[in-house]
Amino acid sequence: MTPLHGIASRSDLPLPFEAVLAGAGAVLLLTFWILLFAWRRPRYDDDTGTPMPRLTRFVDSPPVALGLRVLVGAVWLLAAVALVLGADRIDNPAVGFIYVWLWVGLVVVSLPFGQVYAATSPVRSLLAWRGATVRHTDDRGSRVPGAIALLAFLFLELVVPGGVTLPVLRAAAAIWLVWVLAGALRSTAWIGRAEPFEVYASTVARMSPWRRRDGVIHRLGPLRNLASWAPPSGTWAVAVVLLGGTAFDALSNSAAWVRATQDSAVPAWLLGTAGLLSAVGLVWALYAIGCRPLRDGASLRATMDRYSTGLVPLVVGYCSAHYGTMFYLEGQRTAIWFNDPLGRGHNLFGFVEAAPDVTLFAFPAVVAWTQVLLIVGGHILGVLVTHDIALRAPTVGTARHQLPLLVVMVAFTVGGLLLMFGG
Amino acid sequence: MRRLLVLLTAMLSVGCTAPTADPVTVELDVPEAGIAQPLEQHVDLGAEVTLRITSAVDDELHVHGYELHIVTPAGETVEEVFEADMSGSYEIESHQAGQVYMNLIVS
Repeated sequence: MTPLHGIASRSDLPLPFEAVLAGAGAVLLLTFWILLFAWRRPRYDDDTGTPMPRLTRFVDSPPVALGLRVLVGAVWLLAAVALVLGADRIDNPAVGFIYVWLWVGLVVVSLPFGQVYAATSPVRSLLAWRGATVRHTDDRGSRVPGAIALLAFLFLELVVPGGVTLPVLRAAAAIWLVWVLAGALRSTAWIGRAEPFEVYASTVARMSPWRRRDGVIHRLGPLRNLASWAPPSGTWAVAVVLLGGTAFDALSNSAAWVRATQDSAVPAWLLGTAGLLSAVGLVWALYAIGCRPLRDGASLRATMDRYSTGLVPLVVGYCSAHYGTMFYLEGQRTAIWFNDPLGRGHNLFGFVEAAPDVTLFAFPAVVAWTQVLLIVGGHILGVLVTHDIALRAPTVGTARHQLPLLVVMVAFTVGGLLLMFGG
Repeated sequence: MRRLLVLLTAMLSVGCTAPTADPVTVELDVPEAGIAQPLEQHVDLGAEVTLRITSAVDDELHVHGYELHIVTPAGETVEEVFEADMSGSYEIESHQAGQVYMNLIVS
C-alpha cells in the first residue's frame, strides 16, 4: 500500500479569503512603496559585519566541529541502514529523513545557523581523505549541475510513481551518490556545485546572520548578508527550479489538478513531468523578462545571476509556508520511527510508543496567518534586496527599470498565495 | 505599523477561541465497486466524531493523520469514535482498493 500524496498524512486547510486578500494587498502596497520611496543609494553592497573570533575558535575547535560531524554522520548512517535493510513501509524512517528532515530541515537549520549543512555533509565526511572537509568558500564555479540535481529531486518527490517506496528511494540514493562521488573524486569543488542539498543549503545560508570572511565568522544582518552576495553563476537556475518546483507541488495538490488528472487517459507521470517542467519554465521565462531592462550592458545570463539573490527570500518564505506544518508533524513522526529503523520491534531511543504533539493544529487561524506572513515577509525581503542591487548601477537604478522585475516578483508571490487558497 | 500589529493580534485571537462543537455522526457507505471520486465531508474542529462505515467488501480503512485503522468486514456496520482535535484535510483511504474514499475536512 502506498499513500497517494507522498509522505504527508494531512494537508493544511486552504488559506481563508481575507488572509489572501490582506496578503496580496500588503504585497502590492509595500512593493510600490519600496520602489518609489525607499532609499536612493545602495546600502547593503558591502558585507561588513562584526568579527567573532571567539565564536570562530569555538566552532572550529575539534570537539565541536568533529563532534557535530560525527553526530550528523551517525544520523545519516542510521537512515542509510533503514533505507537499505528496512521494511518497505511508510513508517520506515528513511522516507521521512529524506523528504522531511533533509529536504525541509536544511532550510530550518541554514536560516538561523548558516553553513551547517556543508560543515556536516556526509559526502564531505566520506571523502575526508581527499580533503573534502575543506570547503572552497568562494568558489565561483557554475551551480547549474546543482540546479539540475535539484530538479531531479523534485521530479522524484512530485512525479515519479512510488516516490515514497523503498525500491525507488534506494535507486535514487544510489544515483545521488554516484553523481556526487564521480565528480568529487576529480575535484572536491564539485560537491559545492553539484550536491543538490548542499547547493540549496548554502544558498539559504546567505540569508542567515553569519558569514565567514578570511576564515573568521562575522555577524551581520541577514538582509546585508544576502544583498552583498555576488552569487556564483547558475544561482538563477537554482532559484528558478526551487520556486517553480514548490509552485508545482502546491498545484498538484489542488483539487482541480487531482480531478483533471485522475480521469485523464494520459498517464499521471507524463502529466506530472509536463506540469513540473512547465512550472519551472514559466518561472524562468517571467524572471528573464523581468531582468531584461536591468542588463546595464551585461549579458542577460549574468543579469539573472546578479539579481537571483532577490529570489532567495521568495523561495525561503514560500517553502516555509508550504512545508512548515509538514515539518512539524512528520518531523516528529520520523523521530519516533527512528526508534525502530528496521521495523523489527526495536526501541533504540526509548520513545517508540510516543505520539507526536499536535497542539498547533488546534489553531488553524494561527497557521494560516503565519503562512501569509512568511510568504509576504519573504517577498518584501526579496524586493528590498532587488532594489538595493539595482541602485548600484546608476543607469538602471530608476523605478522604470526596476518595475518589470518587481511586477514579476509580485506575480510569483500572489500566484503562490492563490495556489494555497485554491488548496 | 503598530496599528497593523494590533489588527493582526485581534484577528489571531478571534481565530484562537476554540468553539465547543456538537458531536457529529459521519456515514460512509462503500458499495462493491468502491468510490471513484472522493467524497468531501466537513466537521467542526473539536467535535466528537462518530464514523459509521458500512462496506460491501472486506476492507481496512485508514484515516490519515489521525492514524486510525478500521477493519470493516463485508456487510457489517462499524463505528469508530474520535475527537477531531486537529484542523486540516485528511484522507480516508481503502487499503483494499488503494483509493481515497473521503476527504475529512476539519475546521
